[in-house]
Amino acid sequence: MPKDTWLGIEINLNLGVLKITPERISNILKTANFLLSNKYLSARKLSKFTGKIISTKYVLGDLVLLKTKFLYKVIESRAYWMKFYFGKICYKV
Amino acid sequence: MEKYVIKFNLKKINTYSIPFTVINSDASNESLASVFDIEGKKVICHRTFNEFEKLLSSTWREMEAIHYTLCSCKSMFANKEITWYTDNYACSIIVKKGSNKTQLQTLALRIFEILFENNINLNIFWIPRNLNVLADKYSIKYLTIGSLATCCLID
Repeated sequence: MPKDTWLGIEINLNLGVLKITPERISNILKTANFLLSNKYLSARKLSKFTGKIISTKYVLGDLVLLKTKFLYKVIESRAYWMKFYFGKICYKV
Repeated sequence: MEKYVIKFNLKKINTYSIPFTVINSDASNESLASVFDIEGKKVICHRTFNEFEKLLSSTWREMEAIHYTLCSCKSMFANKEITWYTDNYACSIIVKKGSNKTQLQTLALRIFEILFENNINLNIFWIPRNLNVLADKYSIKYLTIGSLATCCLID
């Protein structure tokens, strides 16, 4: 079993290397473009996006925690989960 | 954006190994120092802070001790696993997870870039100050030299 995919991570035992599958990368980029194009966001959509990034920690390492630091700070300051609330706060920063 | 993702999209599977060196680092009011052994030789990395840097927080100075040692000795540590001991608890967490303050966050990102480019596997731990005697001593001892940057080898 030199090569296999499991939970969106490509395991290559010939080279001893882990990789994220290209479908998952394009999925993350698609949601990022959606967030950037909308002016107002809900906390639910923002945390969905951060969860997608955090789940790549096995490959990217500590970079994942460093880069999503501020996203978590914005999510923590929420008043409602589903309402469109975040737009103005995100826009200022 | 895609180029940025592709750059980091690769990770070697680590097998357990004995760490290449154990590094102790400390920063005093006026200078930073870190001590480690390479092939039986003791290496001391030391520099004094300038007037602007003395005013910054103690956590920043401890982080700078890590950043400066990695910058100057990164070719020694390339492709290896190292263990790091500092006596500042916040510092050991911020290197892994980042901070809300911009100065500390940029330093943490810079440390990550050096580690990634040279494929270094860093394990950082906190130890109490009374176990970190050697690094504490050197961060004060070389004050009399007064040079801006030194990295010296001692048998």
